[in-house]
Amino acid sequence: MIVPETPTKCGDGNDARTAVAAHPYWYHTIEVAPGVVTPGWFDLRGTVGDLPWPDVEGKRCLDVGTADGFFAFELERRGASEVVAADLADHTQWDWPSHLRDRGVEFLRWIAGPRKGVGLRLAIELRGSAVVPIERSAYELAPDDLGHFDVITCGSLLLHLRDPIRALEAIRSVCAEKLLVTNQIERSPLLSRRRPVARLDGASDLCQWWLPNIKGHEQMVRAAGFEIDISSGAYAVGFGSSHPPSRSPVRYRVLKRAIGGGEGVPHHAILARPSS
Amino acid sequence: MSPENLAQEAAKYRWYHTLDLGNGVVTRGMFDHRDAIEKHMLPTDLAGMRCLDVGTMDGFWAFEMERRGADEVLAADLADPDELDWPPRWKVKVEPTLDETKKARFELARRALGSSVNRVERSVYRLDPEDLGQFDLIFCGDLLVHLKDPITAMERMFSVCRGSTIVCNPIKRFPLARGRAIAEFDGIDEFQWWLLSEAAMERMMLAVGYLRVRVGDQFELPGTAGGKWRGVRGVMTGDVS
Repeated sequence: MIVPETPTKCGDGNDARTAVAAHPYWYHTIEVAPGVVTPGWFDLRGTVGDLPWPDVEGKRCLDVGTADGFFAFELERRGASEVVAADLADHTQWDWPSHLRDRGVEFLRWIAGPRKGVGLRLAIELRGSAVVPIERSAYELAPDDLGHFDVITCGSLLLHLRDPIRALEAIRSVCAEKLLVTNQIERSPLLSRRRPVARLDGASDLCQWWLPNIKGHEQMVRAAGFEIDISSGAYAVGFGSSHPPSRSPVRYRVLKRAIGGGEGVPHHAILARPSS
Repeated sequence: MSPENLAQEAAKYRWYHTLDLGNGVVTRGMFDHRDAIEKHMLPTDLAGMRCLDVGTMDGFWAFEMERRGADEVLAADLADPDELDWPPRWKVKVEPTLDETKKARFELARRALGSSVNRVERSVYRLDPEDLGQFDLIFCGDLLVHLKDPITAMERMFSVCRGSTIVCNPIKRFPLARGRAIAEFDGIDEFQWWLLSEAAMERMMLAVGYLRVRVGDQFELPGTAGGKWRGVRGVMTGDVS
């Protein structure tokens, strides 16, 4: 049974509002109490229902690279019996390109937010959620201590990894049934749509590495040992209220919206299962 | 070793590099770099330099750096072919002897050439200045395309480099996106993970910390039996300071 989107176990709305306002950086837009929404950089609420979800009712689930926990809470809402939310312990553990790492820890905090995991824990508390946060890199997922998960979600993480295939292989090692993976995609009209390709960043301030096209995203998932059940079309992840306004010219934004599947960051979703 | 014995020994193996072992004995390698040496940005005189050849295979580039007067040359390669980043489907198709006998081929070539190049068994992912020290010149030829994680490999080379690193790699041309950092991704059907554009090679070197990258001219490798790997190469030199 899918429970209502609005959390029911929560404290006083004013307390929640105060707690949300006191936290300086929200990555996800999450309703943490009736009418109280975190001012995230990204707002996935408009697209989450269209993703190719597997049945998660009664399942043991894992959300990899959970950030503030949007996907973990969605798994819980859809009836998962247990949800583990994994993310790094510390922003310094990101795969920073050298030009960003050289700017020091304070800069990394400025770009990635203050102490990792605070927003997630606050959202868990305010929602009265049973999601279990753990500090674990995607690269270090292993069945020895974590066991296997029936359903795993991994949202918008691969683009931030230098070695997305190793991360997917580690995910596969703990995946019993299904993986729902979403990733930012490259939609340049200059790139083939028939061949698996990826743009390499590593130079911007965004800690991004490989940005695949749809074929490239599919190939990465298959190369890591999954079979694809459903591959979505392109869709756009919306910006949240905290996201800085775009500095691109209007014409460029219109073009980007036209080829990217809407206003926001072009994404693609895959439902996959470990190949036998 | 007499020329006859050398020829007999060399004939036992399938070779990766075409190597002139002297006395008229030339191995028939998958790749013959001899006519393309000067396209690889290797300085003419390496006197006084400590050099590293990464993914040395039969040692062509290590021996070439020694020939150019390097004080010391280290040639690094994997000990176990299973450590290669094989795509699972590809691995079952591949005939393993080329990788299983590379140590023996290297040693035979080293003896034949009277070389003092040292071979170390070390993955590019595990290059570490703590035990290997640093090098004035690093050469890495046709390796990145076979790696699942070429960025970490590049970063490890940077970590042991105190001078310059030359990287040569098969490249992909994207006519509509010329000058953009793009790669074609496989990892399933070929022993090829990220087939980089020239701009992507350059971007990767800058991303791991090389201060400056000098891009050489693209060229076609005149292969002998290199099959599809005979294609166009990009070459560039990254300087750490």
